[in-house]
Amino acid sequence: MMRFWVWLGVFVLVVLPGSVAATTTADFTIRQQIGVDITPPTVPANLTAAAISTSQINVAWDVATDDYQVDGYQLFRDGVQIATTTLLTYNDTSLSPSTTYAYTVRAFDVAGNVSSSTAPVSTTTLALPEPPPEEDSTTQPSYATPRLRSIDIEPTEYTAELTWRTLTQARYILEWGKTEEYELGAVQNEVARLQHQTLIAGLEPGTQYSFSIIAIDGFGRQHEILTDTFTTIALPDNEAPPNPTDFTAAVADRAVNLTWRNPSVDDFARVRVVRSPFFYPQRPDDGYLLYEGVASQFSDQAAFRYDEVQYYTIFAYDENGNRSSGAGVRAVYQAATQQSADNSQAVLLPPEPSEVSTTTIDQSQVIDLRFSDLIFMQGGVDVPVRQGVVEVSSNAPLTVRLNNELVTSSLGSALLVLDEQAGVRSSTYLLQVNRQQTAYEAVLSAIAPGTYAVTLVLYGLDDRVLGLVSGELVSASDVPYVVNQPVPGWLAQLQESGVVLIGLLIIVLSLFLLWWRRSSEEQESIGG
Amino acid sequence: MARNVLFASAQTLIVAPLMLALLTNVGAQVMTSSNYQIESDSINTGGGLSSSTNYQLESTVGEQATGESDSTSYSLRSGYQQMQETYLAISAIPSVVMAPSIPGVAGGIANGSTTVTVTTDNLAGYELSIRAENDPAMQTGGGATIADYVPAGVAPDYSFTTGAADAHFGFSPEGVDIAQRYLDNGASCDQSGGSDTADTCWDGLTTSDVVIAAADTTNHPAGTETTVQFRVGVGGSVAQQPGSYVATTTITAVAL
Repeated sequence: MMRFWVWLGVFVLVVLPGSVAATTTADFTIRQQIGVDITPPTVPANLTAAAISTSQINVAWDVATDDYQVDGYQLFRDGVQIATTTLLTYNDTSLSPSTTYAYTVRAFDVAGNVSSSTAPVSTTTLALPEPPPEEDSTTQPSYATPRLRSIDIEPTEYTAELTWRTLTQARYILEWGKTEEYELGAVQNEVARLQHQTLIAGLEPGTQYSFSIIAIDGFGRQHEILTDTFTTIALPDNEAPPNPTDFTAAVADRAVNLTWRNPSVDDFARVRVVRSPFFYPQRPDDGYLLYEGVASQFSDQAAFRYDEVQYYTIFAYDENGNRSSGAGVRAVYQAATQQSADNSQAVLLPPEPSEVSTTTIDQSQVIDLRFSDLIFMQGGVDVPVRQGVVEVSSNAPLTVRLNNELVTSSLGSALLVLDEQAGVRSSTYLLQVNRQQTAYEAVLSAIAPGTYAVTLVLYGLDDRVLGLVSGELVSASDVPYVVNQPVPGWLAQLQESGVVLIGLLIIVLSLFLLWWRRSSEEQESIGG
Repeated sequence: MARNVLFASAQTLIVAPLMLALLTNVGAQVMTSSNYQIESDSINTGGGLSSSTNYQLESTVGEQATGESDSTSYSLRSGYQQMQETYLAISAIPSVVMAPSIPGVAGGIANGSTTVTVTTDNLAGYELSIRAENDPAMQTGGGATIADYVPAGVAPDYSFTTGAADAHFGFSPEGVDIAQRYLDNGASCDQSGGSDTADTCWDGLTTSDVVIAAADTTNHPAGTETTVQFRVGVGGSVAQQPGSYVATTTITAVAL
């Protein structure tokens, strides 16, 4: 009995659903007319007419019905039949713009019976667009008060193109300058127009300028219609930031505590500290990356895990991605000093600049340099080297440069060391090929006042010393710091006119006369 | 041991249908066990692969544009389940307007026809039938009728014959798959192995399905056309009431 119910369940749930065949149907009608058909179709409903363009109206209506068969529709425009169709739409084209048309439609059957016409539906074609106002070809200025309609300013690094429109035809005067005195220039046109355009050239990059537009009407009256400013586009910043200063390494057991001072420039972004056991990392990706950020110290806890000597280089970056040449420092595991004397397997490292003497220079590839071959620059101006001494301002960054043509062999690295003679301060900087690839150079942040021994050591690709030069650097706050920048125009004019010199002479002469008069009065009183 | 086998079989037979019934309501899955396999079911509300110690479930989702699309050049069947189902389609059938209009007094003959195409990938073929909505099929809105054609014998009439007192409406199918009932031997219809002579073997519509064509094999994707001729005959002595007569008709295709 149980088997019966089991098989019944299988039959109902499995077999029956599978036995249902696919079926599809379609309905249609067959129509036969007997006798004369005198019944017309119904009137088409919902006649609509929509203006699509200046020359087209789309007409549509609903289907009509007939006791036998609707055969089609007749469409009328303004009472004139324009189409016979079996469709329910008609696109009436080739019409005139801004013209009203009335449409009616009626249906007819196969027996020729015609329905009544629909009520007319009227629609107006779209109007042609208004032509834009044309420029007055007479170029005669309007006597109405001119007003500004629009202005567009497109500055570049050295130019600015001003394009503006006035509501009425007018001439104009355009003045510009760095101040609202508009001292730099002016241009005046003599043809009255609606649209005006002027290119101002000879501008400085990244500078704000003020300008004034004065419109002149037909009476010759001047109307200041706009005063505004624009700023020229700044040149891209390709200048490397100064190196961090006072980069020091303090050994604490197997850790090294690094400290430094970040450069004091407005666009300073961050520093990167890298480490290498072989020599000073020459690039930001040369060695282990230890730190990146804006801090001024970092503790390298794993400094001596595998090596007993570590070289650190710190690079400064600005907001535009420019980086400094790098400042370096070396750290030696303190216990290694004792061990190295007995360890014949010690790694052979390049000599430190302080360890270099003329005897360690590879004479076969020697690069003969003098201290005066080094170029020191502050504010874009060369600082002279006199008798092995260079005096620099302690208030400005210092660029140290060695021109490429003096380097006769391939360099692996160039280290510049400043040792403060009165103290223990010692800084090592890497010289890198500059962006123009004309020299090896480093930019040092402002150097604290003092006297420093300067040493430049050039290393070959195999770390052999190829060149050595040394001298003395004196940094003082009272050393004149000249910025190489254009003299303002007004000052140049004063200088050219000799006003300053004359003024000085007048002051000196006045003082002399005052002193002479007082001396005379004192002698008279003594004599009296 | 034998008892255990029987018990297991019975248990399986009970559980399998119940599981099937349950899963039919649950949704899309592909399920396998040692006893059954369900493939290619799907729903539109979920999907993915699930598994337990007893079964694996893989569902489909998002079948938004499923069904069939056809053109003169191709037949597209969209959707996960489409690959498993029998495909069956018939073409749209336009309305038939008989011509000419028959004078109500003098009488006459009017003819019309329509063609339907059946397409199926069912290996067992298909069956096509026709039926009228009303009895008699052709009527006016006011209740006037034209009688359905009644053959003289059991088989359709070889020729459409309208006596003076007759007013009737008949049909005759034509095509490669028409049923034996409409095959003739040149003189009479319902001939096994007969031929399809044009304009012969006339029958009358009824409100029941009458098979007019059939095939026992697939015809996908080309399909097979069947044309149905219609004819109205009004004898000269019949005062047929004037008016517009309409026969609403249904054609049904069934996959065998």
